Amino acid sequence: MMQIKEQFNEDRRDALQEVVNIAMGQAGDSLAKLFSTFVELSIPKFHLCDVTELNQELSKNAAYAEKITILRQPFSGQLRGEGIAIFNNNGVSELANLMGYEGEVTSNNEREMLLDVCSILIGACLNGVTSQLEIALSYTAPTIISQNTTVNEFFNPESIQWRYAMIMEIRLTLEQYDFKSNVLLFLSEDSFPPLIDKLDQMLEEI
Amino acid sequence: MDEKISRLINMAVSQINAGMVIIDSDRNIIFWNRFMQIHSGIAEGDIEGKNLFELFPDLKGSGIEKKIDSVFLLKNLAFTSWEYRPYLFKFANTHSVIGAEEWMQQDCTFSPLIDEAGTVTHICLSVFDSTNTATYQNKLLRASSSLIKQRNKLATINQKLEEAQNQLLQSEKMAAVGQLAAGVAHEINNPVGYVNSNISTLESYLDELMQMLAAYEACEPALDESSELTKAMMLTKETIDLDYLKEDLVNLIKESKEGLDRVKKILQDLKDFSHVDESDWQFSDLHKGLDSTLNVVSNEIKYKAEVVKHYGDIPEIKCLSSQINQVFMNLLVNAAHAIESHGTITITTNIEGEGISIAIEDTGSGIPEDKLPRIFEPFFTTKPVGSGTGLGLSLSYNIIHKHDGKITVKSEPGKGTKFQVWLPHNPPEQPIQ
Ligand SMILES: Nc1ncnc2c1ncn2[C@@H]1O[C@H](COP(=O)(O)OP(=O)(O)OP(=O)(O)O)[C@@H](O)[C@H]1O
Ligand SMILES: [Mg+2]
Repeated sequence: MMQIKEQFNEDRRDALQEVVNIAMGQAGDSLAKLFSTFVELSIPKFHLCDVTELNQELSKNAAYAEKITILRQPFSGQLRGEGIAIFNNNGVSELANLMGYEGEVTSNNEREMLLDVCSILIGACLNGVTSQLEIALSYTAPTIISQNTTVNEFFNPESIQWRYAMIMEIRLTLEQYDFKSNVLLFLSEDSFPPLIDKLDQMLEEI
Repeated sequence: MDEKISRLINMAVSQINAGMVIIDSDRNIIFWNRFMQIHSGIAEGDIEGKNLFELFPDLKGSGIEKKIDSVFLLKNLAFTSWEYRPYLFKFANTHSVIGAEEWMQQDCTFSPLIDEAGTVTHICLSVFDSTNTATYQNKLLRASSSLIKQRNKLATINQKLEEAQNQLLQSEKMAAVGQLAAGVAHEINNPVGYVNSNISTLESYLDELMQMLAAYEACEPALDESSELTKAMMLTKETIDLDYLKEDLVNLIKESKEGLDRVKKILQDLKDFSHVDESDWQFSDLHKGLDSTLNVVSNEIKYKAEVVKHYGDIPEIKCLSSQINQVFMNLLVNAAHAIESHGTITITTNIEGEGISIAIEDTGSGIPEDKLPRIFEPFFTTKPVGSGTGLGLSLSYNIIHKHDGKITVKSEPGKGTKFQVWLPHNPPEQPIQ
């Protein structure tokens, strides 16, 4: 763990933060256009953590104390990992209308809509990063992992295969709809070397 | 690219066993591969340049527009899954011979096609046939949901069994208590019998002794007062206070006889209450049942409440009287328990319709509205652990039900409670438990 923390030295961390900030700016613009409403994206936070600490790390966040819906979308290529989108259950049917589901919104509509939003959010967050760093990724269809669970029930160390992961946490709020979502991007341990390479390349070019 | 390879790629796109559609930024279809042609029956020539939503109006207003928007705007992938949207294009089922799904189940992906400048110019829509997976998945789902249903059914049956067993236990207990009471009554009957006859004999002997004594006393004036014998006699008479003794002896006998009468009455009540001799469907007098029950539970009631009886002129009804008495006992004891210091229990009987109504009303604590619907549930009790089992009313409910009758309750917290039992005059007999 120490070693990994050292690998992500300050320069590299600053570079990554810079890349991510630009990416979020772009994502915010595109999302606002798509939803035609103001979208608030938080400044992404990084954690580098041991999987065993993951639960504690996540439980610190009050937003995860309530019952939530959890979706995930794996990605692979030069970076490997999973995007996890966590939704609170507010404003879901309004959001469905916003996403172009007309008439009575069935629970299947609602689920598909959440999957849409999940892959939009994860795509928006990652595409900005990958295009700046010239990384190629491919995505698998998102799935609903669980509805009405809590974080503690979900992220238990036994169900996660990696030892260390980098988590990037982004909060998205659609004020008008009381809709809140948190996106967690997990990068697996074996994605660290290629990511560091790309960051170094970028640093050299400056 | 090598011309040969690009020809091969074209061929592959045409032959691939999945649908491929290319849409431009106006949502017009500009390419439609062989898979799509075959399943839709629409030739490529007929589709070129047509708008996706005009050709397939069902897609409108179902979230597809935004999916496409998002791919153009964000360069991400969008998906549909058969689980939440069985199909995007209504194609006949590919597994038409064996298979439950009517239409081809589809998983679809919308991918961005990006030019050198980094703009999304087109979208490639791929359509995969997931009918096979869907069929199996749905079968599994149906199987597991029927399993769950069966398991739930079993659980309810189990619970009912448990309740029934508990009620059986309770009524068995009551029957045992009845039997015990009858047994004890019988055992006590004998000694009480001979004590009773001995007391009667004693009384008549005493009467004769008194006559004798009176005769002696009549002789007193004729005695020599100075004689030692006479003096001793007078002294004894004084020490034992003969006058008081004579009076008290009569009273003692009288009180003993009254006591014995009460014992006999209690014994009779115990017998009436348990009805060991007549545990059959029989016409019986409910007032007699009420009175004997009142006597049996008088210890629970007498310090708590005054009992007011408004007995109407009612005929005998056919019932299992020992069980009906159990109901009366439960209601009376509950009423006494509900009264904190002192109150009134009013018993009213009347003819009502084809039967008789019996109301037992108390001036006790009443039952809060939220508890009212639960009081007939087995094990529902508000009494401290060890003092109430919560079976009394549930058992009473079942007994009244078995008699084709009704038991209802009205209560006002702080004022009191009224239980009303209605019993038909001549119900169809049901087997005795
Ligand atoms: N007359 C009444 N006044 C107020 N509450 C009553 C009255 N009768 C019944 N209840 C309420 O209903 C509950 C259930 O009564 P039930 O006779 O079934 O059980 P119990 O009296 O608690 O226990 P047991 O099995 O010893 O009879 C009581 O605990 C009490 O809260
Ligand atoms: Mg009771």
